[in-house]
Parts: sequence; C-alpha cells; structure tokens
Amino acid sequence: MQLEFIVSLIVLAILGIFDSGYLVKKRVKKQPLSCPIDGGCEKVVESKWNKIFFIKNDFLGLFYYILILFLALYLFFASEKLLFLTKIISGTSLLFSLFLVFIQARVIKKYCFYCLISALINLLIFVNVFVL
Amino acid sequence: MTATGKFGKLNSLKMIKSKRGKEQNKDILISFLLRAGLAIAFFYAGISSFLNSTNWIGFVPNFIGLIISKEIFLMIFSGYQIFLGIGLLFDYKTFALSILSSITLFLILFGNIMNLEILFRDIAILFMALALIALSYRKRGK
Repeated sequence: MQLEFIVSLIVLAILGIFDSGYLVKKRVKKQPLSCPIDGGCEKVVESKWNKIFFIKNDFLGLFYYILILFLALYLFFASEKLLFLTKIISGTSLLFSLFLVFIQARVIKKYCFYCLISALINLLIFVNVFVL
Repeated sequence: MTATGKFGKLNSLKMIKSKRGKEQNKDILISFLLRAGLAIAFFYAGISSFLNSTNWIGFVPNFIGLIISKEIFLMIFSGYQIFLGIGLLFDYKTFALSILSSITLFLILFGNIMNLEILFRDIAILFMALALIALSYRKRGK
C-alpha cells in the first residue's frame, strides 16, 4: 500500500470534515450560509432532498468523512483487511453524491457550493481508494 | 422629486447593492480557493512527514541538526504545518496565518535552494499565500 495514497486519503477526509462540518455548524447555530456561487445553498440545503430517512445529509457527510479518516488510519497502522469495506463505502457514497448533484441540476435547479465540493471530494476519495 | 425619479434612485441603489453582493461573493470564493489550496499543501506535507519522516528528512537543512535532532524537528514542523492548514480552513486569523505561511514557504525555499528542481512549485504556493495576504488585508480594511 503506497503511503502517498494513504496521505491523500487522510487529507481528503479532513477537507470533507471541514466542508460538511461547516454545513452542520451553520444548521445547529441556525445561521445563514455564505454561498459564493449561484446563491442557491439555502434552497438546496433546506429542500426535501436534504435527508435520507431522518438523517440530514450534512450530518451523514460528516459521519462519512470521519469514518474514512479512521479507516485510512486503520489501513496504514493496522492491516489492509478493511480495504474492501472502504471501497464499498466510498463507492456507495459516490453514487449518492452523483444522485444529489443530479437533483440539484434537474429538480431544484440551484447549486449548493459546499455540496458540489463534497461531491468532488467523494469522487477523489473513490479514485484514491481504488488505487490503494 | 418626481415618482419616476424616486424609483430610478431606488433601482440604482438596488443595482449597487447587488453589484457589491456579487463582488463580496467573488471575494469569498477566491479566499476559499486560496485557503483550501494552501491548506491541502500544508496538510499533505505535515501528515506525510508525520507518518514517514524518512522521505522528508533530506529536506531539513543541516544546521538544524546542530540545534535539535532532525527527526524531532520534523515532528514539530509537521504539527505546525497541520496547525496552519486547520487555521486556514477555519478562516481563523487568515491575515496572520497567511503571513506565517509565506514566511514558512520562503524559509523552505531558502533552506533548500539547491533542490529547486523539486521545490520550484513551492514558489507558486508562496505566491498563493502572498495573494491571500493581499486579499485578507483588503477585507480587514473594509
């Protein structure tokens, strides 16, 4: 297992934690988002698509990135046993992200900057995990 | 003032406000991209040298070894770089952190001037940090 890819996986997970953490923080504090593009963040974040069952996507994202961070550390320090599980989790997450990008583009017709960043991070995590 | 004159003034005020809003959004985006770019560079270097110091020990200038063990220095420097990355992503004291980042990158380049073929991209990162100083200084002034 190459160290470069473990390091980039950790970096991506940290970036994801900051991205989704920002959304979670704003939701908990009930503050408006500063949306640098399109101005559609609020509309996307408050839409009916922003939850799966009862869990908001931003909380789910935060949990996912923390999980990826721990999995990356486990893969580096302990064993490669969980590599397959990591691949499945990152693949599922990528599919879910692509679905949400589709929803933004076709249904809501507004873009949330932080959600797009999250989708990009998920894509990079997926590619990263598959070259590990 | 006539009714049309009032409306005209209101419309131009709205236009100025939306223009300001757009400029502000542009500044937020530019600042975010610069901070994220710098943070990624600092995170990668910090985490990589923390996990495997042997790959990075060659970049520590020899005179550092006279003061402190190179391995220990690298550990401290890793922590410092991760701290810089976290601070930049949090948008916490960006002006001060971007100055610190510029100084750090300048010292890395200066200390490894003989390895410029490997480190020449750090010059671009240094200029990113300088751009962030200019941007955050402007923000402070407003």
